[in-house]
Amino acid sequence: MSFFSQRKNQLWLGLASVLMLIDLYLIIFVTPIHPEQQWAQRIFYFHVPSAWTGFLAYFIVMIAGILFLWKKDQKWDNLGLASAEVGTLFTALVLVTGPIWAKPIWGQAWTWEPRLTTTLILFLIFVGYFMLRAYGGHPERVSRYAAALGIIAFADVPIIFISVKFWLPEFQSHPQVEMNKQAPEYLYPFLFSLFVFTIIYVLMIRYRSHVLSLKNEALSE
Amino acid sequence: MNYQFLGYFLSAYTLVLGSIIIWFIMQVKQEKHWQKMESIKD
Repeated sequence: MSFFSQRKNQLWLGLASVLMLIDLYLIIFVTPIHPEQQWAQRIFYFHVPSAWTGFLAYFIVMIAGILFLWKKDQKWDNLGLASAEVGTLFTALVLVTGPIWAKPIWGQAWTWEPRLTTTLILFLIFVGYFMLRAYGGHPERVSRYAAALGIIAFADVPIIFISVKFWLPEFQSHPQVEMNKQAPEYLYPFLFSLFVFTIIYVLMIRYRSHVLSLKNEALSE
Repeated sequence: MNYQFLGYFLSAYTLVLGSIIIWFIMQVKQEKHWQKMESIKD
């Protein structure tokens, strides 16, 4: 049975699509133009939510990894893999949309400052995760190793957040403004964008887990 | 309205939305593929 033939999933897709359109409307027509960064500032309304979605996805990878090692249930392995794939897609989007913003604002697309570097490391850890999944050998052993790697990899997420404290301020070019200190006309569309990306993430995870379970059934003896 | 840096915004948004849409299209294709494989197995 197709995933989107189910009424519940059609509603999820409809909801995600409508919310995405509302989000775009808010970004373009409701949020004020930033006096210095102009349109480039609006990249943040999907750059930061992409980062949030990536970190949430990797958190779920860690939880699924713990539950898989504990319960030995294949569904947790599927959830971990699905979440790792979606998380890596969003982390890749963060690593590309960041430089698109930085080029006009900093004058250069990339600098080796703490938050960018630690985010790149997180992305590369998950590239290794997929290499392990692809070339690790016996499927049952690969699932265990991947669960362990997913748990360890999440340690990089808090490092990304506190990385700004590791280096002196003069080495940091990332915006350090706390969002809760932003004016409401900037803050509320931003929070809405976070919500929309979370809904999209949930839909993607549910769909990917469904496809992975189909794959496992087709490949099973 | 000032349109400074509009191109950067549109590039980034197209990339994000396009990636999500392409991801869904790929999943639909994979879903069909594995359903077909399952029916062949049966």
